[in-house]
Amino acid sequence: MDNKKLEFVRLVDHALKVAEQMKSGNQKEQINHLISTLQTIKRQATAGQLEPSQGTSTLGLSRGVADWIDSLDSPLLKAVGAIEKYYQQHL
Amino acid sequence: MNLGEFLVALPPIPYFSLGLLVIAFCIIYVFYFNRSSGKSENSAESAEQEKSNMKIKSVAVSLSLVMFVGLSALILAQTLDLNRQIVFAEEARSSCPLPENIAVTFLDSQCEQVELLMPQTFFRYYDNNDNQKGRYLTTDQYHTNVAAITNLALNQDWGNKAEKMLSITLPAGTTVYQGVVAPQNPASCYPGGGQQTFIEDSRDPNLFWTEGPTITKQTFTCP
Repeated sequence: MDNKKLEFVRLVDHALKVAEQMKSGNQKEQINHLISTLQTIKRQATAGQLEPSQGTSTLGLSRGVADWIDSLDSPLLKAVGAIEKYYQQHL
Repeated sequence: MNLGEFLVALPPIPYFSLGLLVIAFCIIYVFYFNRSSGKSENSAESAEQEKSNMKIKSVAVSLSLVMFVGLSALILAQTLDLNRQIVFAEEARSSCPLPENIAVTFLDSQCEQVELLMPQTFFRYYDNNDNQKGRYLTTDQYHTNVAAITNLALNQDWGNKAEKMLSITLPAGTTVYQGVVAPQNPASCYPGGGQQTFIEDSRDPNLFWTEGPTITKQTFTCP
């Protein structure tokens, strides 16, 4: 796996960690959806099956989280935002 | 900003002006040599001068042609947005006042901040209580759930089948962020392109949420 993919997977793992810590909160259903989506993205990236962004497409993570997260300063939104940024700029 | 970014960011006008100057210079140069070519009395000297003039003329004409073709290609590329690949992998130049994490959900991270001067009604497509209310709205009214899913890029991994619609009236003075929905992976299934409105507080008690008309349910498939 090349350095770009490794960094991307590292960012996904970080978001997974943050999401796992929020599982006991009041948005359990949405967090579970997010964890499932992050795991799918990680699997696709590791297998080289993630469609390239070409600088335009997103992964829908920021869209998904910003819709319902309590605070727009949430570490979870920052974590998924970092994935989206890296995806658009490097993959 | 490096030189490459600077050149891409420049509008075509400076290129065009510079090109016109070079072409004008070349044309003047060619005319000047045409006029001065018959002045020499000595035939050998005249032939030599004519040969030299021809060389200069051909260089000037070639330069004009190269400039013309180059400028045409550049202006066409900027018009057709073919320079998008050059921007790829560079820092996103967001014009959206929202944080980058949210701006990215708009096409090319571009959105506009608008303060509503009068109450305005928006729509939201949802499926169940988990996705009934949220910060993402639209001014677009779709008649089928599939149209909503594709145009609003509602990734089905999140479980929103968009089979129901809400009308939301925002009061005057509300700040909204408007733009176009960015495509989502896979872009063939979720191309986006619909109108997207983002509000910072979807739990504001002044927002008026009502059930909208029923929409036609179709089966959404993504290969």
